[in-house]
Amino acid sequence: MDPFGLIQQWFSGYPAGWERLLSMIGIEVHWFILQYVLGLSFLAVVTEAIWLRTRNDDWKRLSRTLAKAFVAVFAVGAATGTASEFGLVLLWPNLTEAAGRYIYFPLYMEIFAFLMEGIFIYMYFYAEDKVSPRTHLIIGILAFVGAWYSGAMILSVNSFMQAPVNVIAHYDPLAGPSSWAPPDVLLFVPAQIAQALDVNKLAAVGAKVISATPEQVTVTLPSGLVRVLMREAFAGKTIGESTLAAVIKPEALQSLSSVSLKTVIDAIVANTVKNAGTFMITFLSKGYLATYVHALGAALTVSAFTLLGGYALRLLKTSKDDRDRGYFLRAIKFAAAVALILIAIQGTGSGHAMGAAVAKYNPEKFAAMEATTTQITSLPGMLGMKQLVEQFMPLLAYGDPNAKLPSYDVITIDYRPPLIIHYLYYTKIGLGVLLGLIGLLAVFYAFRREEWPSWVLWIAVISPAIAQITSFLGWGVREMGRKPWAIYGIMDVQTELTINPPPAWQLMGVALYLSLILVVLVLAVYWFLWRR
Amino acid sequence: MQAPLPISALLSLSFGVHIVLVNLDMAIATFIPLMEWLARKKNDDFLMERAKILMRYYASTYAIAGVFGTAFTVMLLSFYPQFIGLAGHLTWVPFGLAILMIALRFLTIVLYWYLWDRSPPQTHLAVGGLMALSGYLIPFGFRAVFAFLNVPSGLHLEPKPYLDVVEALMNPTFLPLYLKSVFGALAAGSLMMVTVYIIRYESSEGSLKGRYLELVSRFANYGFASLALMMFFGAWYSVSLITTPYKFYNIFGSLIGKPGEIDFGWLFIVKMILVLVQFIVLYQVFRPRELTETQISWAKIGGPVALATVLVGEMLNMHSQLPYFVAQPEVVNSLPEIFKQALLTTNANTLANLPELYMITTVFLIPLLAAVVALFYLLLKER
Repeated sequence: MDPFGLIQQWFSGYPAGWERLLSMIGIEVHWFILQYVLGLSFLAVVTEAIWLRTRNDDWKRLSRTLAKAFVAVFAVGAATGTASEFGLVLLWPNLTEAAGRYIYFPLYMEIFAFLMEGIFIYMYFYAEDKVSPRTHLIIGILAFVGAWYSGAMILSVNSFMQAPVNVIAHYDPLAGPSSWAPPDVLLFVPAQIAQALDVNKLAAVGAKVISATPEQVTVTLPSGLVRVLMREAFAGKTIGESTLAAVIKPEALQSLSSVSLKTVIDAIVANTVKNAGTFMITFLSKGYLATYVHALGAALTVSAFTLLGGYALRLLKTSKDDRDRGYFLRAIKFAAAVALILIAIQGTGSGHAMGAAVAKYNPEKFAAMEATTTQITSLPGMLGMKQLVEQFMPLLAYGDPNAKLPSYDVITIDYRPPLIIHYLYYTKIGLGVLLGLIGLLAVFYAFRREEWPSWVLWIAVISPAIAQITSFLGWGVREMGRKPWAIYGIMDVQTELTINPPPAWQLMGVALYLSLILVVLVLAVYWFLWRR
Repeated sequence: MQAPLPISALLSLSFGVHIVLVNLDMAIATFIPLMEWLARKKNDDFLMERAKILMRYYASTYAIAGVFGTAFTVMLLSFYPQFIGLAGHLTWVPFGLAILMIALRFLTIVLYWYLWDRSPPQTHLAVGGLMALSGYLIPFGFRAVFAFLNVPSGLHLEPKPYLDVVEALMNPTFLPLYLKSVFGALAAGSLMMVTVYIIRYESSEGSLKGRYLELVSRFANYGFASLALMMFFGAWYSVSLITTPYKFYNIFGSLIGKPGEIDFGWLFIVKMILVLVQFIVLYQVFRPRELTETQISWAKIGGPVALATVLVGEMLNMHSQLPYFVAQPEVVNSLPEIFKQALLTTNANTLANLPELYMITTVFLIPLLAAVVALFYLLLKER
């Protein structure tokens, strides 16, 4: 498959290519900004705390600069967040409805997080000279905690969409590729509905009864069947018109035929949610903790490299006898140390945990990430490292040298994610390593040399762009790799889509508009922070 | 049958705070570039300083208004997911327009605030103009949706449900609702400025007193014109509601001897009394040379009364059509069951309508509302 073929597979191989492209751009513009709200707010508080301890005014100045930056981006971040929220409602209304009905709790709790962010970020910025330094620090802590709390809520919803607690992936790494099977969905069917179902017919379509009580029957259904039922339910079909009719007892079908399928599916899913815990279901998603730590780490890393790049540019543009040079050197030293620590944690700690979670709970995505297929040449293959990676990766992913990677070619076509994520994933890894090297170089010059050569400063200047691209690719792999699903094992892309898709030119117009806003914002913040 | 009380209360609270702040912000975003323009034209440092102070307040509170707007949307999603799902299928254009303008609005606020004294005056004023303009275009989209909830003009069910945007904009309640809202916001903002500057007038001395009095007079003029126009468009909106009899009789029925199913005539009278108070305030401070204690007292209540008018008006508009999201029971009842369920406020999400959720909401919301008050206090506090 050539590069064009890879893009075509992602764009046209699944429904709603243009809508997915707009969503990707909209959410990425939001994430681009959001990382600074998550990261710079924390770094501002850290530097202020150092100032409180040392009383060296350079730290106060650095803290104030960081606060200026994140207050500026917070306002636009709030707007792009609203745009993303409405974008989800307008393009993917069925997914939005399902989220509102079954997994609303973290979204609801995010209201308070957003409020907390909004209040304390502005208080931190505007009330500095009206409260004591310690109170100001506490306000700063509340500001970044608000942002982190907000992230924790939203990421739990995203984690649920990647690997819901009631979806069981089937892959045994010790048994090898042939052990792969489509995922099953665990459901708690209210007894009233279960009585109408024909157990033998259910078994014939792959359902298994796990347990039964007078109130409910616990079953697993193949995700393929769940996908079809969800699609039919949101299309407004009745039971008589739906696939469910095939597994209903004939005597029950007569009376249920004209009942809305959505009503029945809703009763089953709502009961399942109650069993998992209405308030807890998203937080129990597989891989949630790894997701949260890795995403937060990405935001902090991007912020640290942006700080590094910003002060590197400052040093490049000032003469050696500039009165502020000492301050710039102190700031860049801090940025270099923080950037190196964070990229190390991202690569070896949270990144590894994230990868292991994907291998365990999303074997189809993992197969695409590793390109275990004859359809494309993998990047390690191109670099002559295929054997090494094949030996090393199973141990890394499963912690067992005898484990084997899932084969992309064994996976049924309907369950395959796009192969483009392999190249995105390995590019991301490569850029992550590059960031680590830049961090090392920066720390070396910050702590071992008095002056920075201009070539090192220039490398530092481009490092924020590299960090942003790395972070973007990480999300790209995660979200593009979720295809063909909107919610893994439960709802597919076709089902979540609006019944009135807008024309492509309107979608692209909105995407360009949001991108333009991002560009103007970056220029404005740069101008504001660096113009003396 | 009505929506569960806690849901109604939470939606009213979040929407109420949002709409009051948004109305205020819409007016202020118009006044700030106007004051800057006047200051530059007259080389008036006093006016320029007032514009900057106002911008500082505005930049820090606009996001709070947005947060409460998001809170309202998310609460609506949590309690009425089917309604949001249905709205999503139909409202790409009106909501889409509002979204684009919201993004532009926030960007222009950031640009205007941070580029003050860092860019050429004409560029800065142009950004200010864009900031003000975006404020008028956001409600253009949202009010189109509100008008649709009055009369579902443009809704077609065959071959699949879709919205004809041109027909939707021809909705008889749209234009008067939009214009009434715009001038209502300008009136409320003007009255609030009267109150703020009267307080400053009272606490200042010498020539400053005269300058603040000038501002009081200027904003009283703006307020009078806006309020008069709001009354005109408000009357037009009231007449247009005849196209949606359920809502019309709920509001005006008891006043004309034909009460509707839920009587909101009393709330309409409250609103009219509040409007009357605004006129009295404006009369008191219209062209003052020196103010008496009585006039000052009237002027001090002008702003809060104007904001209360906005709140009462919105609550009246929102609640008088319940329990229907679309204020035409005959239309709602004729729709397929799947749509009908989505359009009734009595059909709340059973997974969200829980006492535990309301307790959590109380625990989180009360301290945060106190923090909002603290933020406003710190912003207005003298150094």
